[in-house]
Parts: sequence; C-alpha cells; structure tokens
Amino acid sequence: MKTAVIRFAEKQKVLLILLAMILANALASPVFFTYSNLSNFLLQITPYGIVAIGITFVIISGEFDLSVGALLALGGVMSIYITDRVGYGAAIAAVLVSGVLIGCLYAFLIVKIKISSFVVTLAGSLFYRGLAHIICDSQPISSGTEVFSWLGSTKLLGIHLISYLFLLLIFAAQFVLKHTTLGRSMCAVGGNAEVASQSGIRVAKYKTISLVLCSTMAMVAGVMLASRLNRAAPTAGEDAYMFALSAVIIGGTSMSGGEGSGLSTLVGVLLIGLITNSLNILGVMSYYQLAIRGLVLIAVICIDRFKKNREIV
Amino acid sequence: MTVKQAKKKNFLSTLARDYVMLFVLVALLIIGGLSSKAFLTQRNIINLFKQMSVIGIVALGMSFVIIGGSFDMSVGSTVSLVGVTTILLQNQFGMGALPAILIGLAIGALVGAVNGLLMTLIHGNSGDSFIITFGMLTFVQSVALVITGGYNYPGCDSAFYNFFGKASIGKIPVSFLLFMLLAALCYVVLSKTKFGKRIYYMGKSVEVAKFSGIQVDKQRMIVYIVSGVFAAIAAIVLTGRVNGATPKAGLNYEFDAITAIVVGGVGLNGGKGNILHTIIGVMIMSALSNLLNLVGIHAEGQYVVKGVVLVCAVLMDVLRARRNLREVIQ
Repeated sequence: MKTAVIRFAEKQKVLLILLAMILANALASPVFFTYSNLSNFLLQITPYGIVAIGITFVIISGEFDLSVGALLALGGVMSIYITDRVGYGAAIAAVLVSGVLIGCLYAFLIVKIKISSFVVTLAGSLFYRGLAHIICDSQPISSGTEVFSWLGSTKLLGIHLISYLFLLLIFAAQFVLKHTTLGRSMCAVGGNAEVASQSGIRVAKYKTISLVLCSTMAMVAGVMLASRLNRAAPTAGEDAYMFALSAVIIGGTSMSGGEGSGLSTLVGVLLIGLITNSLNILGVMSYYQLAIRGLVLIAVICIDRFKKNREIV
Repeated sequence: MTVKQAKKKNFLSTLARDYVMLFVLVALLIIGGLSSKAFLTQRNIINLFKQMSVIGIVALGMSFVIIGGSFDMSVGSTVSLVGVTTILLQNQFGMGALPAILIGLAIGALVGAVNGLLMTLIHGNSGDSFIITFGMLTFVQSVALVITGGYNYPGCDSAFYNFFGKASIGKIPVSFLLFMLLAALCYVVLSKTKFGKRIYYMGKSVEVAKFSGIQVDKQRMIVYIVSGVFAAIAAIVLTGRVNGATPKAGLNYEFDAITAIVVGGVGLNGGKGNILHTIIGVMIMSALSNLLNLVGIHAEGQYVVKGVVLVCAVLMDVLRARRNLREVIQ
C-alpha cells in the first residue's frame, strides 16, 4: 500500500504540484473557486495554451520553434487588417493559409536544407515581428467590424467559446499523439530520426506536419487574442514562447523529443497559468514576474536534463 | 610554376573560398555609394565606425561562444544591465568612473559564469545553450528593469567613462580603435594559442575534445565569461556614445551579433571560421543597416531585411559545407 502511494507520487509529481498550486491559490483568494473566476482563468490561459499545443508537436518531433510569439502577433494584426478591408472570412482564410505556408517554409529550411531549427525560427521571429510592425505601422489596431470580436466574446454556459476550442485541441492532440499512426510516427521521428527512417517512417513528412501545426496554431492563437481584446498589437506575445516552452516541458514532454502528450501539456499550461495567477494575486510587480518566468524556464530545462542524464547513466 | 606563384594562387583561391563576403562588403559599399549621396561621406563613415564598434565588440565575444559550439542569447540584456548599473553607480551613489566600470565588467563576467555553470550542470548541447541563455536573457533584462524602475537615465559627466564612447583620436573614434584592438587580441588568442585551438576542438565535437583530454567544462565556462565581459565593454562604449542608459538599450543585440558572425562566414555548428570573418560580417551588417537608415527604412522594417539576410547566410554556409564534403569524398 505504502509503496503504491510512493510510486504514484513519483510518477505523478507534476499533478501533485498542480494540486498544491490550486490549493494555494484557493487559500490565497476566496473567490478563486467561483465559477466566473475559473472561467476567467481558463480564458486567460487559452491563447498561450494553444501556442503550447503547437510547441508540443514540434518538440515531440525533435525540433524547436522560437518564432511562435512573432507569429501570434502577426496572426492578430493580419486578421484585423484584412477583416476591415476585405472581410472576416477572408481574414481567417488568409491567417490559416499563411500559417501553413510559414510552417512549410520552415520545414523546407530545417528538414530539407538541414539548418538548425533554432536559427531558422530565430530569423523567422524577427522577420515576422517586423512584418507585423509594418502592417500596422507599429501602432496597435482595433477592428471596426462587429463580427470580429464575436469569437472572443461569445460565451456558452458561462465559458468562452475559445476556451472550448482550446480544450478541444488538447483532447485532439492527446488522441492524435496516443492513438494514431500520425502521432506515434511523430514520436518515433523525434526519439531517433535515424532509427525511424530505417524503419520506413518518412521523417521529413512528420517533421513538416508538426512545424505546420505549430505555426498555424500560433497564428490562430493570435486571432483569438485579438478577437478577445478587439485589439492587436505588433508587440503581442513577446512572452508566448517562454510560457509555452516552460508549460510543455514542465508537463512532462521531453526536451530531447519523442515523448509527450496533449494531457501533459494541459497540466503544464494550468500549472504555469496558476503561477502567473498567484503572482498577480500577491501583487508582484511585472518586472519581478519577468525574472521569475526566466528562472522557471531555466529550472524546468535543468530538471528535464537531469532526468535525461540520469537515464543515460 | 615557381613556389612564389603557387603561393600567390593559393592565396587567391583561399581568398575566394573563405572570404567571399569581403567581395560582398565591397559590392555593398559601391551600391551604397551609388544609391545614397550621404553614404560615402567622411561624416557618415565616421558615424558608421562608431555604430559598428558596439555590436562589433559584442560579436567578438560571441565568436568565442559560437566557435566553441554553443550560443549566448543573454548578451543583449547584459549590455542593458551593465549600461544602467554603471550609470546608476556614478550618478546615484557617487562612485568614481573606474570602480563603476570594474563593477560593470564583473557583472558581465558573472552573467557569463552563470551561463557556463548551468551548461556544465546539465551537460548541455548547443540547443540547450539557446534555451538556457534565453532564460538568462529574461532574468538579466528583468534585473535591469527592476533597478531602473523602467526609466531611462541620462549619462554621466566623467570624461574617463565617456572617453571610450565619445572621444576621437584625430578623426578616428576611440570606440573603433578599441574594437580593432580587441579584435586583434581575439584573433591572436583564437588562432595562435593553444587555448584557442582547444576552443576549436570543443566546437567541432565535445565528445572528441573530452577524449583528447580537454577540460570541456572549464573551457566552456571561459568562453561564456569572455562573451559576458565583451558585452559589458560594449555597454560602456554604447552608454558613453549615446550619453544615457536605458533598461532596454541592448534589445536584440544577440540577434545582430549572431547575424553578423554568420554573415561573415563563421559556421554556426562550431569549430569553423575566425575573427576576420566576424569583422567582415560586422562591417557588412553595419553598412547595411546604415544604408537602410539613409534610404528611410528604420528599426522594425530592418528586422525583416535582417531576418532574410540571416537565413541566406546560413543557407550559404550549409551549401558550402556540403560542397566541401563532396570534395573530401571525391
């Protein structure tokens, strides 16, 4: 009995930390467990949570995408710009198509030409943020069309539509990664590309799919954020990458690729979201929050590496 | 063919193979001169020298890290932090210029040492170094914001402090002379000493370097400290030049430095290139951004151009490596 408890505790460390965080938040703020506050919390983590799902796919297949923050900003700015000039449908279509194209371009450079994904997406990050600045002339823009803010402001049973979408994507990711050939192939490619390739798995195909999913989701997250605030800034999402990466790795997806799931990303996103939430409750200044976020990222990476190094020994 | 002729031919083919970017630099200067009248004036060239010194000094330090096979994303925020600390120490705490500068350099070394220590702890690879130093970037940036409260501060009155950024000897700015002096020093250390050789070995393969008895951890610690200290020097030059310190002064400098290094022809996989490449890269990128300013493309628009330049430079590097590999196989 005792060993079973210990084993459970060791396996589900993150889940226990999550429960502790929830408890701490509930004790610190009496309104935490109200329905509206929880729905609000879910709304807050939704855009970056969707970015995190994309990052999960990329990391599982053994690559990185540093440009998600810039793509989020570009998605938001593009959607408002096009909605006001052409129409809502055209804007959504344009965002989705450019998300796919950007992912394909990354995949071409990373998989075909074999440039490190860090360097490609670092360059992409500045390129697309520059583009976002150019589109809206470095000023935050908001939409004059009512239909634009519909997506971000509509609620169903007290919970925002986009939050449902986030949860739907989490479960879709969980299903794809655990129960389909696509997901298992992605894991195989990320775990060891050489072995995967020799077992007849098309490495290039699965890496491309994961990169496309990631850039598209980042841009969609940008549309959601813009729609919720009815405002898009070219500087949006500067901390998206840090939030998403910390969440994904703390949830249990391995930095070295090959392991991870949708639910573990959900746990990670909730955890990082709760940390931010409690810092806000405690009234910690935003500059200090920045420091804490940097430290959390470093700690999470170090823990992941310690785990990996111990496995090797 | 006499030995002399053979040597000459060899020199030219080396020049063509390893220093293609020198021709790009010359071409860029010609295009610049043709497209903007202001570009090749004496005033603009002196200005260009001043501009390139700051990012050049950052890039020199970063070259050690990249040749050693890792990255250092924290240099930009180190520039910001050292800039504001040295100014605050002088203006708010009445410290002299020299101790303030020494503390600034120590902060740079400390940031580098922490980077090195973390990398040692996790036995990190090049990818890890990206993320770890990215975390440091955020942390160091927040420290700069906390101690300034987010405000900008005017510079100090110390002639000694401002000497590095503002003064000129004859027509040539001191900052440029400092950049060249440091570049010469780095060139000698990297290309002519055993210490430098070990950095190249480490960059080529950490495993092989370890088996050859190189203390990789110590070596990596040193390259990160070098990078941090150079960022600190750049901060002092920058703060003196613009006569003020802001908590985000060094924003995106890591990107500019990496781009310059790659454009110059130092491979991103480590163990390749030398300081001459870095200098050429710095000159190209500074001339490019100066030219873009002159034709009216400013900060954000420039990043669109620089992003493309970075990808093209890496593309060239990869294709060159493949060609070399083919030659070796044949």
